Amino acid sequence: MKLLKEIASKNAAVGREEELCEFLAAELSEYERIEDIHGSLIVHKRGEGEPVMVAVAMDTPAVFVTHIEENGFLRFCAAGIDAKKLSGARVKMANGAAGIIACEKGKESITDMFIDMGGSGRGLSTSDFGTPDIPLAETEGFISGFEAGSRACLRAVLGAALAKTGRDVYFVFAAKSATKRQSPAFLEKLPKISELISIDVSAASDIPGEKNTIVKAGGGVCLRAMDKSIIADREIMNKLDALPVKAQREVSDRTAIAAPLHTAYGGVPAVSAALPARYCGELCEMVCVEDIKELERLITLYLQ
Amino acid sequence: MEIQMLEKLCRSNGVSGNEGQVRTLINNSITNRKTHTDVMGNLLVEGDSRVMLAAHMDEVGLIISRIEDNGFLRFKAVGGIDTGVLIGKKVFIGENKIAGIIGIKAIHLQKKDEAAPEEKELYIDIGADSGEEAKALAALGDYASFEPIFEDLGDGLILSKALDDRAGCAITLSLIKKHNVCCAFTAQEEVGCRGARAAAEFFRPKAAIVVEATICRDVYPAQPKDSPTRLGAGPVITFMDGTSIPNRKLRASLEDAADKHGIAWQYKKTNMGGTDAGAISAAGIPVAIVALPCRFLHSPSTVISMKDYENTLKLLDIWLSEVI
Repeated sequence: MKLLKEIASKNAAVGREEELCEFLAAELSEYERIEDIHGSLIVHKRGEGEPVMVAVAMDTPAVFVTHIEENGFLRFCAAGIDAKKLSGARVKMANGAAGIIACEKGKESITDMFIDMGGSGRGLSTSDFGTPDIPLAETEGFISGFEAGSRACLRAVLGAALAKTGRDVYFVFAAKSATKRQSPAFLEKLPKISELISIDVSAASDIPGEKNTIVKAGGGVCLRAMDKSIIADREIMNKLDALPVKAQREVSDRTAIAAPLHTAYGGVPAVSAALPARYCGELCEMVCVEDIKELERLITLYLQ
Repeated sequence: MEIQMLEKLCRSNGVSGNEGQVRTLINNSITNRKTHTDVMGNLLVEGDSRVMLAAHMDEVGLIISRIEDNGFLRFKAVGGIDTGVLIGKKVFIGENKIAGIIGIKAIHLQKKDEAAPEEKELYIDIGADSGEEAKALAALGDYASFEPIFEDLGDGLILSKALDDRAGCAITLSLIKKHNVCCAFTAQEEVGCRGARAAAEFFRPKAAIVVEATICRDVYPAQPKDSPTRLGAGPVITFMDGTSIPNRKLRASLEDAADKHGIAWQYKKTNMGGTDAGAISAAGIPVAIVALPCRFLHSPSTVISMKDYENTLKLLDIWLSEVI
């Protein structure tokens, strides 16, 4: 939980992932780092056999200042999240200052929304970013907060990267994924990857009002037979199925983080393994602690 | 000189996929560099591949999709066009430039609360009385371009079709006469930036600058918060749009060059829209976007400020001279 909270505390706004990137790089400093001009962190953990790849999103949705009114209110655009979901949210800006996101009365459009910094908006400029300020909290075996799902995935991948494993593996902490702009360009520098595991977040539907509960928080890792971008490779899926890990099957309508890597440079066989999260994509997500542990176990066992 | 070339470019027809006329005009203007046309229709100009300049040749327009028995032509938009800007506009169809008017029933016949028309309700009237007569003049798949107007509105404002992105093409043409960088006049940007990725993969430059025209909504009653850019406020630098997150180092170097030389510039104050930068970035090339604000984008009549044009040209000229 301590490491997870530390990950969640680092700035990782889409396109501005440096703070989290350097934190993760420091944690993984014993492994070779491969430079990527687009901001992703790629780390090579040497081992046996043909190289495999594990990819996870590093960035979070964010808001960006577009205009500062004379009276100090900030206008903004949102990247990776529907702005309407942000109404009433507290936001932490790049300079550490807090603000509230609100909307002009009776209006709905993003151009009618603004950030109230309580003062002059001083110290901020156009293109400065902010992220919703909802720190992670743990209650009865669940963790909730802004981007709880993706931060928990990072925690699981980091844990597996630091564990004792045997396979030759590249870990990709992808930048710019919230706007689906992650670049596969670094693949050109690497040897041919034999297998790719995309670590994603799936929408758990075990909440009131949902008619068909397919994915449950606490039901274990979601092994996606198919999503919008990857049809699971049978061989890799069989390997994952055989592992002694709590898992549930899913056919998802989401797009995997590793989608651009799956199809680039001749293609890489892939499977998406996802963490179920309630209120996925909403301002505040909720994930089960046991699922995070199972996800870390899945990746670690797969790499042994 | 600049404005004469800009006018020639704007008066040329080049709806996405049919950029030949524009490409020929540009190619004929390049005398001292090696060029070729690739399979996508891009015009590629060889040079120093540390930097690639990119500007798209194509414009939004229409394509004939059906010929009615009564002689009217149905069409589909090529690129994103609001149907509201089409009604009553003159177009020229096919290689023979057959004139037509985009029609809809007169206001007298419309219901009070009638909604804005859909594309399928509109038609082009070329004066034909029958389908047979129309088929002698136009065919399914013919392109229809907006009427080529080009006018000086005064105060340095130019009204024309296709300033998006013939203005970018004109600026890029001027730059490559002085700077030996490689350059792509791209095809099919308006239908999904299809040419740009091929161009980027051909040159594999260290960096790329996309020279574009971008949205400007600074006319009454828009308030400053609603205006992504303002005419006359200088070249526009994008920090994020719908298809790319420009490289921050590249962007900063452009901003620094502008500040150092006293060139007023502005951010694009929205993350909407997309350019060839998305496709170039997907090819793994760091990219930045420098654009001119352009009112009424994707309509038959667009407006730019020549002051913005000159400052965009000046900024890129300085940047190419000093930074690379």
